[in-house]
This record gives sequence, C-alpha cells and structure tokens, in this order.
Amino acid sequence: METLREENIRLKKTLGRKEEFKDATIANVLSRPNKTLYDTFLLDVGMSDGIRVGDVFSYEKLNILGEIIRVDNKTSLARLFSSPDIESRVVISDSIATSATGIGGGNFEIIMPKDITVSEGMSVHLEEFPGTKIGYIESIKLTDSDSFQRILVRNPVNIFQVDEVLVYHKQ
Amino acid sequence: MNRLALDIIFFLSVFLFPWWLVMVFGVVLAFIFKNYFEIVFAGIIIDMIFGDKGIFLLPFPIFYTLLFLIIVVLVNLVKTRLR
Repeated sequence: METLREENIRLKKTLGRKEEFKDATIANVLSRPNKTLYDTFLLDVGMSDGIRVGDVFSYEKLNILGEIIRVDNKTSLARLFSSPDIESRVVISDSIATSATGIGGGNFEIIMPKDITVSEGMSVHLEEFPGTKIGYIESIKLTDSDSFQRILVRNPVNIFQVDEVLVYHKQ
Repeated sequence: MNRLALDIIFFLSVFLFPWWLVMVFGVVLAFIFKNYFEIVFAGIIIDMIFGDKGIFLLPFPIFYTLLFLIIVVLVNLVKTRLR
C-alpha cells in the first residue's frame, strides 16, 4: 500500500496537472549516457506510443533534456541538447536571447560579449519552450584582455540517474 | 564455458553494463579466444542502437566498431609477441 502511495505521488509530481500534459507520454529509460560514450537515452516508447522524431523529452515537467532523433516501433533514441557540439537557441533569465553549445554531461557553454551583464544562478531556457529550463548559470569566465565571456550552464538534473522521462508530442 | 556461451553473455553485457566494463570484458575474451572478432559485431550493435550522428554515408557512427576492431588487432599482436 505504501509503495502504491509513493508511486502515485511520484507520478503526480512527474506529470504535474493532468490536463496540461495530455500530449505527453511517460517513458522509462532503458539506457542512459553512462552506459555508452554516446550522449543518448534509449527510451521504452516508440512509434506505437505516438512518439515521433523531433518530440522533446524532459525530466519532471520543467527540465527539458533533449529531443527524439530516431524512432522504432517500441523504442526510441533521444539525444540530449547538451550533447557535444549541439547548438540550441536559448534565453537567459527571460531576457537575453543567445545560442548555447552542448559540451556533454548536461552542460552547455555560451560565448557572448562581456558587456552583457549576467550572473551566476540565472536560469536558462530554450527559446521554443518558455517557462521551462535547461539549466542555471554555474560559472562565468572572463579576462580583461578578452572581449567575450564564457558562460557555463549546468542542468540541475543528474542525467546519469534519470530513469523516467516525459516525452512531449510535437503538435 | 565454451565460446558460444561467452559470446551470448558478452552480447547481453552490452545492454546491461557500462561501456568500460563491456570493454574490459571484451579485452579479456580477446585474450582467451583466438581472433575474437565477435566484439567487433558488438561494437556495430552499440553504434547502431545508441549512436546519434552518422558518419560518411552510414546512418550511424562507427566509434565502438573501430575501437573494438583496434582492441582485437592489438590483443592478437600482443599474443603473438608473448609466444
């Protein structure tokens, strides 16, 4: 009984309010990045569950992690937006639009002019998905001689421990 | 245990264990058996299932395929030197 209650709480936490996520599917992670050197998730949902290439997936409704890149009948392969060299359009703290490059392990790097003021702890989300987040600014590196600042963004989710995700169906 | 049984265990390990453990297991098997090219097939499977970006005209990468091929060649080379 206790186990069922915990499962129920966990599912509600994952889904948020039901009516908001009727276009999402809960997927179990069959394989995550530490199992192979590829920054991909193998999910137990596929074409038969309505999953399509380009669908995005998240951990607990707000943490967008990546997108589906290959779909089979019962499984799908998802790539993290933080995979090395993947570039995404992002917005820092709901105001500064820029692009972030994945550097692996749930981290991103943003290079931007140093006269744009940002600070550690600011949230970063994908341009396409306002109200969600891909991480927070963890550190900012800048030198006096350089005209650019290097911003490291870290996803608060430990991608090496994710065992369940939400896949949002593309409209 | 014969080669076929260990092949099956090795192929299952690809899905169950982290990459480094699979690699160590592969190296050990390559030392035990002559021309253990089965691990190259395991590499192809890993690349096909988990690989994201294709390379040249292939729809999947060949990182593990090449890595395991190099392991087999190197282990064979070491074995001939040890004799």
